[in-house]
Parts: sequence; C-alpha cells; structure tokens
Amino acid sequence: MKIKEIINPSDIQDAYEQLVSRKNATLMGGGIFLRLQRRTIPFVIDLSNLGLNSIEITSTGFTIGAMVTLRQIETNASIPDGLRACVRQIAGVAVRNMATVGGSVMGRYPFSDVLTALVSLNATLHFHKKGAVPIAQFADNGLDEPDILLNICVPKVKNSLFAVYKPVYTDFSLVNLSISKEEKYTISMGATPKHATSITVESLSDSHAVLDQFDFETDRRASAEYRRALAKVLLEDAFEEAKVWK
Amino acid sequence: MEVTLIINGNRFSVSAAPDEVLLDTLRKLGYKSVKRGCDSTSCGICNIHVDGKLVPSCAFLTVRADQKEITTLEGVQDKAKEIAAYVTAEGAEQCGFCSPGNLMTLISLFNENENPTMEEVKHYLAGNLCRCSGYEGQHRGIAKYLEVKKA
Repeated sequence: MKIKEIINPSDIQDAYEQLVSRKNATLMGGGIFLRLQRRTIPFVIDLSNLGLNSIEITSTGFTIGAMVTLRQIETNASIPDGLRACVRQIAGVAVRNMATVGGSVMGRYPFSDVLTALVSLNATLHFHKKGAVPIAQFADNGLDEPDILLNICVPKVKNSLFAVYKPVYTDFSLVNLSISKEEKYTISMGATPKHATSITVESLSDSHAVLDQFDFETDRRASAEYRRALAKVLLEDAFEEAKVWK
Repeated sequence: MEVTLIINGNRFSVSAAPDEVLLDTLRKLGYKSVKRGCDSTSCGICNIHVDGKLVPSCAFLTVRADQKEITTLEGVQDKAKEIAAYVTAEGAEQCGFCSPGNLMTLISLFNENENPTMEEVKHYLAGNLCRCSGYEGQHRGIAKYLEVKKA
C-alpha cells in the first residue's frame, strides 16, 4: 500500500465534504485491509479522530461506534454473546486492537464473521448522510453514494450465539452462522462463500429444513457440498445449545 | 508530516511519509527488536504497544501515532528477561526471531490479566507464529512462569 496524502479530520461534516468533493477519496477505519492492498491510494481520510470509538448502552440495545475495535467488542461483557463470539477468532489480539467494526461492515467481505452476527441481530447502520439502513439491505446492495458510517445500533435480544468452522484457529471462515432470539429466531448464514443472508423461524425444531433455506457454493477454499456438511453440523450443535435458552 | 512519538518514555520528533508504518520508523530510530516478519499483519513478530494496546507495527501508520506512548521490547527489558528465562529453560527458543513479538504479546496479556489460564494464553497468542518450536515448549515455559508467579 502506498498513500499519497492523508488527512485526519476532527469534524464529521468536514470529513464528509472531503469524501464527496475529492475523487478517489478512501476512508480509513482500522487500516488493516487497506494495508494489505497492493495499490497506490491518492487520498485517505483517517476516521480515527471523529469520536466514533465508544460503545453506548441504550434502553433498546447498544450503539456501537464505527471505529470501535473488534477487541473492544470482545472484551465488553454487555455485548450480546453472538456478536462477542464472532470476533474471537478474527486474526490475533494485536490485529483486533486495530481492526474496526465499521471497517468490517463497510468492506462487505463475503467471509465476514461480523456481518453474519449483525445480520442475525437485525442491526441498523447509521450513516452521516443517508441515515438509518438495515444491515441486511446494506449487505445485499451496499451504498449507492459515498457516505460515512457513524455507528451500528444492535437491538437487545434475549439470546444469541455464533458458530463457525475455520481450518486454523485464526483463519477465514469456511462457513459461519449466527442465531438470535427475541420474539422469534433469526438465523443467518455467511461465508457460503457469499455474504450472510437470514431467515426467521418460530422455533428451532428442524435443522434440516433450515439448512435447505440456504445456498452453498464452491470456491477455491471449499466445495458447496463440504460447506453444506459443515453447516449441518454447526446448525445441529447450535440448536442443541439453544435448547437451554429461556 | 511532522509527528511526536514517545518511545519507551523518550520523545522524538520525526518526519514521516503518509504511508510510513511504525515498524520502519522504529527501526530507523534504532529499535531493532521490532522485526519485519510477514509484513502482512499475520505473524505477530512486529507487535508493540501503543498507548498500552498491543498492535502490529507493520500496519500502524506513524502519522496515527502522533503524541502516543509507544513501548517496544527495549522498554520492558526486565519483564521480558523474566518471562524469557522460563521459555528458554524449556529449550523452546531456536532461531529466536519470533521472541520479541511473543514477549510483547505476553506482556500485554499479563498487563490485562495477571493470572490467565493456559486456554486464555493460547487464545491471546493465536496471532503469533513460531516456525521452529511447534509451540509446546513455549507453552510449558509460560505455564511454569505462571505457576511460580501464583506461588
């Protein structure tokens, strides 16, 4: 990665104006994925000075700033289990101290663990210009114009879990899933190898019927059959785990 | 861009390019414990502490470290020697290239959690690669260090 110019605004409106007025402007969250790109980035807007790095507990759930690190989520005991668990095996602690939840979401990485958990939790993204966007809508379509993610609202749920298969402890996921329970159950499946999609069910009774609702595909990391077989076991185990939920 | 770095308690004013990372800045300033391993945030060898947080210095932009407290292995010699003695006593050190990163990671862990379980140790060390040891000797050394600390 090469960067020609970088700014570090302290005002969100200023950052937004720079984003829309400068062609080829790139937003920097934690900077981990940008670091790995083999390209020259002409103009970077560093988002680290905008005060977006705190987690607030509200009456309806949690407001997680876009610049909150994955490690902050991992170590915050109030965060729902499904979201806390999903970050535990994303690289090592050092990377999780830099990588941000906003960066994970905005990349719309198909292998993303964070996206899968947030889709199951029916999170809402809040952008500076566009305002509220449901996570599932963003996961499917992305954004139609440049914008800055401010925070992610995660509603309170009764229970949640995250399950994943990684060939090595800190590897990318071959398949991942998340279940959250409020009135009904929302089950999301990701890294299929496409990004997470979800379904809603009344009860966790038939894991085979749930499995049939998701499509699995082959890429260079795993075949569709292998992913489906992994997802079957993960779902059965998850249903078992959820039996004790109240 | 002009930045002020506080490295192991010493202030430095340096001029850094927009894409310069702390790994390069620190090595230029003589902090040679910070090593370039994978150069892609995967191996943990370049780990340092910035404002008390463990980070890979190969990904941390120097311009982002302005006015921040940076700790390298040179700044925690006593603590590092104490832990390393247990690891070397197990014959776990061969080439030693991963040691600075491992020690900075362990020191970060012990700062956050004085008495971790071995499961917690392994979870915390999961981003640090060692190509010689297979980790068993290192884990034995760390387990003994923790036992002695507890006693």
